[in-house]
Amino acid sequence: MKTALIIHGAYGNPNENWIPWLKTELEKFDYEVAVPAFPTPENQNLESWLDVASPYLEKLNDESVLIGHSIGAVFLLSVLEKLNAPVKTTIFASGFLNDLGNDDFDKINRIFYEKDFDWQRIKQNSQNVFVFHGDNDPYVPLSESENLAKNLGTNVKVIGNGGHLNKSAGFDKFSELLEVIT
Amino acid sequence: MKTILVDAVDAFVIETENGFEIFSEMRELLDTYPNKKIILTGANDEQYKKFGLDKMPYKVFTLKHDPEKTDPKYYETMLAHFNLNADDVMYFEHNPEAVKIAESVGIMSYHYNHEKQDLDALKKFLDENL
Repeated sequence: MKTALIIHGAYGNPNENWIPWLKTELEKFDYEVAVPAFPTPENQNLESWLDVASPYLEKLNDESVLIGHSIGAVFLLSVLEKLNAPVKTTIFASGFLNDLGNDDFDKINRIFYEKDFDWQRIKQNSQNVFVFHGDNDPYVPLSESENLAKNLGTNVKVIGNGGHLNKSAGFDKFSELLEVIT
Repeated sequence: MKTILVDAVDAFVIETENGFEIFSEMRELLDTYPNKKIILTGANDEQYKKFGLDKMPYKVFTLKHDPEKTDPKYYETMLAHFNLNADDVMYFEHNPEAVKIAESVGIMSYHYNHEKQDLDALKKFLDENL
């Protein structure tokens, strides 16, 4: 069974941005798609998010795809660290590894990236890795994804006028993302 | 031409040692755009005066906390009140939850960083999307 797990961002939900569209598109390709709702902003922390993700991680296999947006992308690093076998593809959209200078976000996001990642294990646990970032993201500098991609041994796929790759930047669909999966 | 929806307290109106006042640099920025502006707030009658919302240079819209700006009905009611569609407006707001809710009803929304009073980023967003 091909499975996909999509992770939304801080203050977000499973019905935002391109997530519903991507779920529908992947189901056309016979993926079983999980889009859990993670606690945010209240009770947003690594432990609570891993608790929510746990039942879906058991269904991952070498045909699985992981997709995360914003802090959801950062969260995937901790997911990959926990896996005992590699997934097929992991996609990081608008990710980051540092504070963004906005306390509304930094104070609830910080626990996800202020840790020593086992980059070797993270890379081993995904056969393919893609990093996407808008060239005019109003919240997250492109340098954040460049740093993330460097640690993952890949390059950033820069989306022109992509903003934060969210609905406000016109991304209720995200065809570039679907292309690298299918 | 799109209407700019302006967050009130902690954005266009800020607390100073003299009480609540218009953030003059933000007003100067907004006045460079010919677009219509509407200030969005949840203030009740008492807060309306306290925050100086009775002395604003643009129209002010409030539902007096019923519902709050973190409820989609706030934006649906506001759009209907002004006979606007979601595509006709863009919005900046300091509360991330309100931003997400406004986006959920189709309003292009931007999270304004009120701690930094980041007008450069706000200008960039307005320039790129108006």
